[in-house]
Amino acid sequence: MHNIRLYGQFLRVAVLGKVQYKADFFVGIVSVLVLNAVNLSLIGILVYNFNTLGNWNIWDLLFLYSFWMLSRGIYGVFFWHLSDLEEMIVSGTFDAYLVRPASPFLQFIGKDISYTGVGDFLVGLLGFFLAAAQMKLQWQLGRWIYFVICVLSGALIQMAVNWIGASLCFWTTRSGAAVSIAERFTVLMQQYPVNIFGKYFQIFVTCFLPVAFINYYPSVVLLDKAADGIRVWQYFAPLVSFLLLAIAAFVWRKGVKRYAGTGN
Amino acid sequence: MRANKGVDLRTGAAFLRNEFYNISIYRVSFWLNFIYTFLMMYSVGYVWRALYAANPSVTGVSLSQMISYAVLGVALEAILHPRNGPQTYIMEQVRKGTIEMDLMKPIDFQFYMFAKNMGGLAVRFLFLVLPSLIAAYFLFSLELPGVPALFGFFCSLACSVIISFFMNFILGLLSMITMNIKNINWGYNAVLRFFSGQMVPLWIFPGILGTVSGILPFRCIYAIPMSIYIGNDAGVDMLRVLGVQFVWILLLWVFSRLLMKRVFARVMIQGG
Repeated sequence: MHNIRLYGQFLRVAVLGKVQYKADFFVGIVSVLVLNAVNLSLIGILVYNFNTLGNWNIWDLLFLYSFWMLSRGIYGVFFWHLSDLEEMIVSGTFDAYLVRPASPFLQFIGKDISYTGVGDFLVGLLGFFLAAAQMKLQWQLGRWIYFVICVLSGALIQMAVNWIGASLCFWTTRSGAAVSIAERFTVLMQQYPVNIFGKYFQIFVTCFLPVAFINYYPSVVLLDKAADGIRVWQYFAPLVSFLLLAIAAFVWRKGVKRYAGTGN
Repeated sequence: MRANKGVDLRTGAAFLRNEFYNISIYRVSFWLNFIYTFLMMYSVGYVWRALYAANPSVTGVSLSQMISYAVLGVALEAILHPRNGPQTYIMEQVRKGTIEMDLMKPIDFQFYMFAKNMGGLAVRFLFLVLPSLIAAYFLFSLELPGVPALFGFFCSLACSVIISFFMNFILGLLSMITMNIKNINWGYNAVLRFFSGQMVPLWIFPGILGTVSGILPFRCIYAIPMSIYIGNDAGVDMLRVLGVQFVWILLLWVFSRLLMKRVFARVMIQGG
């Protein structure tokens, strides 16, 4: 409870810091919108010409993309600065967190928030309602709840993957290159239904780097896209997010301990 | 006012060598980049396979041609992506206030940036583009073109590199005025991705978008060499698109020289 209040205070400070730069805020939002427009138009042009991709039509793909954007927006607002860890360790500023009487993780996570996530989230919201209207989606309450839970767990999966990636620099000092490559690769991945990439690839993004649970499997379930019936494990997105989070927390803890042990 | 050509060339070669050493230090990031390229080539191939499965006659070229086009787009990113341009370096120097040191060097600033940039580019071409193309030939069914197309491709690629350099250089100059490269870079990146034909070939762009993409210079960077490679622009067409690239090189060269003069005049006044 104390920690949550502390986190709230940190965030308040971060927000107050951000609102000083209004121009930056608008430019940031606009650039996010432009990037999304480019991504969506490219997919749009492809599907406009070809009509379908696998068994997904243009609105299914918009749904998939918006799903990702919603969760990415939430992840982005609160956790975008996970990648700053490398710089903080190299420059030694992370050490300040270790001597203060609060959890280093809380201080690190609360140091900043990012508004580009807001742009992503808005795009996601807009795309989702557009796609839902076009597909005439009529969901029962249960589906809506599952949808919201999956968006949240998608955000958590992205957070956990990046958290693990960032924590690696406790061992290697440099992990930025690996994380940015994972990020660039995920960006391409999330725009297309995973099943078009072949079996091995699907196994890889399901079991080893479970990014398919961010938006693909929830979309498969919600849009009934599985050709031969939905399997139980395809519902597992929330479970996967908790598992990943536990792994990430473990890696972080080990990392901080190691860093504090050898650093000074 | 300028040193003679011989000195210029030797200085250029020195910068090239220097950049080679600089880059070869970061071996881990090189391997990671290779893995990334590999994964991307794998996935774009599958995207096109899935698209062709539904509708094989949309693009007017065969699936294997299309996959070659897409794989090439991924491989060439290692030398044509704006992140490797000189603008990041220029902005860094401006921010640190050390750009004067670069401007004072007894060598033309644009030529200096070009030599420095080409050094890095040569290394990336040798160690990233070539190996990924070889891997693509064996693993991702990259087709080998005939001799004329291959020759045309390399000519065109050289033009792409120069055009891409000029554009990045112009962005760098602009950053000296705006004092912020991030947003400019960002917008340029997005426009380039869309209108260069790197991911989606420009000839399937509908209506007005197709027309616009034909007018803009961005297609010179990816679309033209790649279209020549897969034989979509052959014979007279190939000469025509090479001509388009030459014209753009000329235009961008003149423009960047003029802009450089004006920006430097401004920087000098500010610097006192």
